[in-house]
Amino acid sequence: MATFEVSGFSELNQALSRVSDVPEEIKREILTAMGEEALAAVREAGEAAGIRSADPEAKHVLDALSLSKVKFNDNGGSVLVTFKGSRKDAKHGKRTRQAAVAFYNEYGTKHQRARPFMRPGIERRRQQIYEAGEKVYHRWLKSSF
Amino acid sequence: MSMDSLVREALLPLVPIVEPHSYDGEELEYITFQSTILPEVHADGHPGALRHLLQVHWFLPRRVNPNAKKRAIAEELWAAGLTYPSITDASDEEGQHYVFECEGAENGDV
Repeated sequence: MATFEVSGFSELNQALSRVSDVPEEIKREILTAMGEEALAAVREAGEAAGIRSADPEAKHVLDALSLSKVKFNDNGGSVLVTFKGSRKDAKHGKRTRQAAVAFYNEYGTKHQRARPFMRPGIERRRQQIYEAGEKVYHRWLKSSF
Repeated sequence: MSMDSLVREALLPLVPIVEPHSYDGEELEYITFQSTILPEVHADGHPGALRHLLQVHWFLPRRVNPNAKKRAIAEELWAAGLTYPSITDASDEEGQHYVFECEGAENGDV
């Protein structure tokens, strides 16, 4: 844990302003670490829910998981766990976006029971996701003070 | 009261068919529900409470205005002691399908 030693208000003020001024590359690293942990959580939950297709020809939705670039805005930053690309449906010959396949699994349809894996995956590993970000933050804090 | 009983008791006055997991009958309007259970583990390794991530699926025909009942379902889940649900529209060409997602606990508070 980081500690601060200050002898007066101006030093305290200076120390706190340095903490609030986390460099962009560190913010990017924090969000990426959290995103990677979230992606792993979703993949693990998907495997556990048995959503991997038996069709060896189809690129599977869990293999389409990817992390977007970090974006910054006025509210901070974000990184998205997404499903990239599409796959050919062996039965109908049509292409379906992997994101749609993920949605059908998460929420189900009239004929297919939902097999939620995104929300449960994230909830199961919420603590580890925060910790992945904290680890980067504390490493930076330690090296900065 | 079990989570199944709680959901059924809350929603049966609104929709006459409320079934866990799936429904294979002929009715066009019905509710199914399922939950993922996460143990809230205490220091001794024993779960003090079971946290339910609940999905409630409301199916109904197309061209029916869902708004009043959609709100009523959300309110009933809240009144039954669950968190206020988020609602995802998962409708397709076969009909309307709304997914209410909320949380609840058994054997204590979350």
